[in-house]
Parts: sequence; structure tokens; C-alpha cells
Amino acid sequence: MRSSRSFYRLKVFFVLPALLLYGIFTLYPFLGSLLYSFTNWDGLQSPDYVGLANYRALFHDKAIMQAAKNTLYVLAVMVLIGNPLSLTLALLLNLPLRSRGLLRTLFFLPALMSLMVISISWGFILQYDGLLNAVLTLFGFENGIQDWLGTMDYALPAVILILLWQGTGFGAVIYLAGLQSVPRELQESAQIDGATGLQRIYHITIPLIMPFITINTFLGIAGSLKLFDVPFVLTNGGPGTATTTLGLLIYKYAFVHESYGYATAAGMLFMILIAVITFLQLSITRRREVEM
Amino acid sequence: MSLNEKLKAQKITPIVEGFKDIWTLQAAYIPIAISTYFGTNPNFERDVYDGKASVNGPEVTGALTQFAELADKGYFNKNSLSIGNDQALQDFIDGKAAMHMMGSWTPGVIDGKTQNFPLGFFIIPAKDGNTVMSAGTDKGLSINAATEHPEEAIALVQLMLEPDMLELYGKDNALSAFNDVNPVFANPAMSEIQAALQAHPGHRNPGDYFPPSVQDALNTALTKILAGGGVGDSAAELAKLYEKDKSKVNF
Repeated sequence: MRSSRSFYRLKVFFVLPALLLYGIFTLYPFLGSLLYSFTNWDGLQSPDYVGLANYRALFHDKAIMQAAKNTLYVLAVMVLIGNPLSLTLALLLNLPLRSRGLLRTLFFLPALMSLMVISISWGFILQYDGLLNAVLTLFGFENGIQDWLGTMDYALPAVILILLWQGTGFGAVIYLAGLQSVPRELQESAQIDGATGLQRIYHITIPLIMPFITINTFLGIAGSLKLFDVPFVLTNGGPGTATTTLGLLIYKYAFVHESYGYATAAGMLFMILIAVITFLQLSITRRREVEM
Repeated sequence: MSLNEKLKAQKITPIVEGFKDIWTLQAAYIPIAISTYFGTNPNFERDVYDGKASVNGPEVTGALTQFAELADKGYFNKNSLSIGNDQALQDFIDGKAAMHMMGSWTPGVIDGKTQNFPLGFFIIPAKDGNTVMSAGTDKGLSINAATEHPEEAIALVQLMLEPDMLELYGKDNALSAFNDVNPVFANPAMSEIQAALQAHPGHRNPGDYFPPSVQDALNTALTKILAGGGVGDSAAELAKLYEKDKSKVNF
């Protein structure tokens, strides 16, 4: 009895440093933010309690609605196009090619680069006098020339294109690990039974790599929802609000508008949105995972 | 507008700007807004604060519409949203455009990059023909209330504010808001700005008495206009933000 109590104390002792760090750097700021979300704090003067006014105002805030629309658009593209693209790339990279190692490295390289560096580099490519328009001109497509980041219709797709370029290789590496864990004998027996390549992918590969699909979808959703750096560097959310995401707008509310109370309220709602979406995703994809 | 049209007809870009830097949006908007905001009502911002005028009134709407006219008619460079101010200024120096809307530091920057550049200045009138010069203070003088030598401090400030001293300080350096102070500038464009300051009514930069949220939303509206999105209900949105954040305005 005594030894089990001292063992319990020992466990608490070991957990204490992590708990302390979690308390100081996560729990305390979170609770502080929750309190500030009910105030009109401007970062300088003492905050006044305003009840649910910030939360009520958020539901009538056109800018928030536009940013939510943009963010969900990015999320949909990243999950519905980015994820299958990563899987396709992984299937190709899993083929017995001689240059497989080189190709894997090349496709993974963008994932190693800072998003800031990527944004600036793509900015030079996509600007009106940039590389893309120069190439279009070279091949006689002058009519297709655009200020890709300065046009309402093309700015957000351009941002998404950069995200796909940067993220597809990373997702493919995760899928590749999954593909290599699929037992070869299952594939071979299906092949002997006359299953086509597509049938084998649909009935054997995908069910067996479902945990990896869960991870990649989760990372895609989380990454899309908290998207900030690429639009911040490339377009500052513009033109107009064409590329303003929720993360970028909350940043602006706090550090540009100096409305810290309002921004923390927006942050709280944003957190709930992320939690709901990821919970739904995890419950759907995990249900489809199979045990080997 | 007719000048812009003539330039465009000759395949010359009328105005070059680098709006990617965001702050440069105000450099192009202020010269338009100052005459429209304060041309008919010198107390416009105070009146907005007191509820006698609105951000959604003819002043802001008029300035946005005038800015939109420049954008919609293609008078700005086509790459204005994707280049920064350094590139825009270089394009101006290289003769790729006829005009550049920017602050009074520009002649000095151009002098640092090239020699004998033929630079001039003119004020942009509002639609009704009113002209107001915008200005921002670069220095402030104050005396510590607890100083042991108040008389000497006052004497020093008085000496520093003598026209001769201000002319000495301003020489090739700073514009003066006083009509009896005429600093000498090597760059003729600076002399033209100084003359315009003395010939036209002046006002602090428009927006100095708007909350930061309104200024940011104004920049957003300007980029939307530049991208072909039109003025729309931008002024109404600015008015809503003004009411929400009015407590941040300090008169």
C-alpha cells in the first residue's frame, strides 16, 4: 500500500515539469484569452467587461464571414485535391523506378523550405513582370497574362497552388511509408485472383493505409485552417479581402486594429471551429481504418 | 484626368506606384483625399467625431470614387499591386511612367539615386476644384515642466523657432508650415512643394483622426478598387468600423 503511494508520488514528480510548462505556456494564456474575449481590451488601457458583445458582433462581421469562406475554400481544395494528389504521387514514387530516390528527394524538398522563403520566391514568379507571364509571352499566350496576385479571381487560387506545390511532397512521403507497410503477399494473391491495378488500390491498398489517410487529412485540415504566412507575405490578404484567411484576419484585428478583446473572441470561435472540423474528420476516417 | 488621358494615348504609363508595400496606398490616396475631405469642410474629421458628418458621407465616398476613376481608366501601372515602392520609384526614374504620387522625401531619394533628374510637383485638385495640401509634422518641441531652468528653455525654443533658424534647419532638409519661412532647396521640386504649402490651405494628413481599423479597412478597399472590384459599399463598411472603434480616436 505504502509502496504504491510512493510510486504514485514518483509518477507525479516526473509529470510535474511537463505539467508546469503546459500550465504556464498553454493553460494560463488560454484562460487569459478567454477572459479577454469578454472585454474591449485595446492592448494599452485597462480592459472593460463587455459580456458577449464581441461574440455577438462576430456573427454580423462581414470580414469574418468572407475570411471563413476563403479559409473553407482552401481547406476543401487541400483535402479534396491535395490529398489525392499526394496519394497519387506516393503510388508513382513506390514504383520500382531507377530514379526513385532522386525523385523522392526532389518532391520532398519544398517541404523543407520556409513558407516565408517560398512565398517571396513565388511572389517573384507570379508578379505581373514575373517568370510565369514571361513564359506565357514566350509561347505566344499574351492574352493570358495576369497580375496573378493582384486580381480578385486569381489571387486565392494562386495561393492554393503554392500550398499544393509545397505540401504534396510531404503528404506523399507519409503515404509512401504507409504503402511500404502493405504486405506484398496480399497484393500478389489479389493479382493471382485476377484483380486489376485499380481494384487492388481500392480494395487492398486504401483500406490498409487508412491510418495514413487519417493523418494526412488531419494535417491538411489543420494546416489549411491556420493558414497565415503565405497570404501574409504574398498579398497581405488582398486584393480587397480575396486572400484573407481567418488566421490573418484575427492577427489584423489584434495587431493592426488594436482590438485585442475582439480578436481573442474571434480566436476562441476559431478554436471551436477547428476542434469541431477535426473531430468530425477523425471520427469519419478512423471508422474506416482496418486492423491487419 | 485629361493629362492622364493624353499620356495614356501616347502609350506612356501616367502614374507608377508600388502598392505591394501597403503603406504606399496611403501615399497615393492622401493627395486625393485631402482636397476632397477638407476642401469644403476643414473640420471634417472633427465633425465625424462629433456626429455632425459621417465616414459614409460625400467626402470619403468622393475620394474613393476619384481614386477608382484613376484605377478603372488604367492610369496606374499594370503591376502596381505586385511591386513595392523601391521598384516603382526606379521605374519612375527610368522614365517608365510620367508621375509618382509620394511624400516630400522623394526628391531627396531620387537625388541619391541619380543626378539632374527633371522633377516637378503639382497639387491634385478635388472634383469640385478645391485644393488642400496635406502635411505631417516631423518634429515636436516641448519643455519639461519640472525643469530648473524654464526661462532659459523658453528662450532656447524661441530662438529655434525664429524664421532665420527654421530656414537654416529646413535648408535642403525640411518643408516649413510657416508662411514667413522660406528654406532654400537645391532640388527645384522641393521649392515647388514649399510654394504650394504657402499658397494653398493646409491640413494634417487625412485619416490621422480615424481609428486604426478604419485605416486598415480603407487600404483593403483601395486594393479592391485597384483589382477592379469597384468602390461598392466600402464607405458604409468604414463608417461601421468607425462607430465600433471610435473610442480609439483621440482629439
